Amino acid sequence: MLNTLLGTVTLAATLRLATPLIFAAVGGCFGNRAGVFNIALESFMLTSAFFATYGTWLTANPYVGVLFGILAGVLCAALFGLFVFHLESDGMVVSIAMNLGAWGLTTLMMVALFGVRGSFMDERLVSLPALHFSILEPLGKVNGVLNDQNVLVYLAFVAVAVMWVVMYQTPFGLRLRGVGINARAAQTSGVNILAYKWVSTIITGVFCGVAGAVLPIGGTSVFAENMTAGRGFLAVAAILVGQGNPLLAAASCLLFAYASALSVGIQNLGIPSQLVETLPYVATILVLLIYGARNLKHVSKISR
Amino acid sequence: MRLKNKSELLLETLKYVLAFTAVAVIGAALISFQGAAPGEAYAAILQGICGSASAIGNTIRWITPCIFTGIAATVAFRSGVMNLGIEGQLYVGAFAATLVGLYAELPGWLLPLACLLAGSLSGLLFALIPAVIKLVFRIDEMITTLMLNYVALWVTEYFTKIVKGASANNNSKAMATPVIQESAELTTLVPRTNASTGIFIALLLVAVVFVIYRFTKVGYEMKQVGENLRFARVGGVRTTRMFISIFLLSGFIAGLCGAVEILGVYGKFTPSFANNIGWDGIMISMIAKNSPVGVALASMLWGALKAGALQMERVTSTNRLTVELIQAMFVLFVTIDYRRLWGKWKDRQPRKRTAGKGKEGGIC
Repeated sequence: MLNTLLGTVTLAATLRLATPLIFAAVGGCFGNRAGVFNIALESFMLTSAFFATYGTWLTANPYVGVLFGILAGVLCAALFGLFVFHLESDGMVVSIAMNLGAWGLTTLMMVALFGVRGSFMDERLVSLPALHFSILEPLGKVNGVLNDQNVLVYLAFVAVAVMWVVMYQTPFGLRLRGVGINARAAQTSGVNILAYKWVSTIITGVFCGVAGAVLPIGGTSVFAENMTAGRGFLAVAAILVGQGNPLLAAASCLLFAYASALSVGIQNLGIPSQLVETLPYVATILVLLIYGARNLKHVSKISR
Repeated sequence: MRLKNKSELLLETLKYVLAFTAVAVIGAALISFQGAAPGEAYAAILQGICGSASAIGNTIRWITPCIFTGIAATVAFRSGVMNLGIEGQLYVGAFAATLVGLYAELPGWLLPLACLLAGSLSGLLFALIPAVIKLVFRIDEMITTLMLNYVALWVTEYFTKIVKGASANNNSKAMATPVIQESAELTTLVPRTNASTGIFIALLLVAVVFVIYRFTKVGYEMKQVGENLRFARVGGVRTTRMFISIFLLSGFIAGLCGAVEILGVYGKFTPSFANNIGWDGIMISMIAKNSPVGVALASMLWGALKAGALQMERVTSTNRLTVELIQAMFVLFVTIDYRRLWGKWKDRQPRKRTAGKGKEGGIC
């Protein structure tokens, strides 16, 4: 049992599963902090996952795939920004329409370009290489967990650190947070709100692009219909729990990923797979409950 | 959606016509991209909507759940309750209805009634979870309902496996409960189609919600809470009680939708059968601007397109998801705030409006 809970396999899987969540959540934090209501991360990721697959398949080079993914993420973000910032649509409506549209679009393109339904596998769909650090070798368990992961796993943690610095240690980050806290005040002090909202949305798109690319070419080398399966929503939940702080959001992502990783191990213990599959979502709700427990003192006020 | 004068009516009509033309053109491009003739595909869609008696039956079959989920969304969103969990509540309701339909021994019309009640009450109970979490822990219902959708999906699949017993394997595509008792099924309207009397329940629901909104004090308060929360509270509306009742009502309707789908169409519960129909409801409600009659009209369009899409896939080489994509684009085009856009265009002041409306405040 303990081996399942803290085993090398589980922890290594946690890092691997957390990577797409972390990328999406870190990017989403910027949109969140700039006061952009965006639950379309799911569609950004799914579209990127498809185009990363396509790019990799075209060139047999996963890095080109990642670039394609980023490009797709940016295009999705641009579409979102166009509708929400310039055409005065509601963020939620645009999000929902995009989430449903992305499912249709990717499946359609899958049939059109690859000629298959369901899932796509090909020998040209090469995954990103795993990095091997010989320094870590004598460290036993740490080695097993940290070593030989794919490039993006390590980059995810770099991204968290960098984006935390950008958000809290740079003038850009300060202004961005200012836009989210009080748009009018920010405007009065000469910040171009629209520009900041746009930039933050594009950042979200870039990171969701990487997050989407991780899914097909981060080790599994397969693209499946509706592959994101709610990961974009999990990222949104992580942003909410982390209150838009990349560090805290990434920590929540690790927790959700741990719940997913556990599900692989627990399944072997004879617990029905369907119940195990609910773990990340239940864990999300539990984390939200703990996070919301500080509101309990308001309960007595619920009278009417 | 009260139309104040003629020019406004004109603007609204123009909006729908424009959006429809735009997606028809994009749709034609998408269809030819897949190597089919757009004209042929559109003809197939039309034929699938009303080409024959069975086509009309299928259209009615698809309109029914659209109305239910559309109303479930309208009830919630009009009052500022962000219930994104219609899909999950629908699954729970559908499963409960199946259970009653399988095992309850009741005479005559009592059995379908019990199924419908079981479905809707389970949907209601499932909606109670995020509502309570919102009230006690102040967690945004949007995120909890999103998560609970997945929980509902997997848990109902798990119970399906239990009902099916030892013979069940883990392949969710092949897994389903046994077929419910015949006396539990709703009467079929058009022979050899899935159009059932569920459509009457749906239309009745539209009428009831319309009357509540238009003529009753409760309905006025429900609208008030969504439009101006502070005013409503000052005016003596019990907002907390209102919030929870609206949430439960929305879940009730979603559960009812699940039950009707089982009793009227499928006859058995198959995991993940609904295919985003709950999300369709939210989009329909957006198109209809949260008006019950609007929902009925938009559902007709939506259901017709769904029925037509299936026919199109049968006749031409076009994937039916094309229509799904077209529908999503239609929503995008229709929900553009043209009037404000027009206003912005007219008086182009240097002062820029704050971009993005952001989330509107919840009601508690």
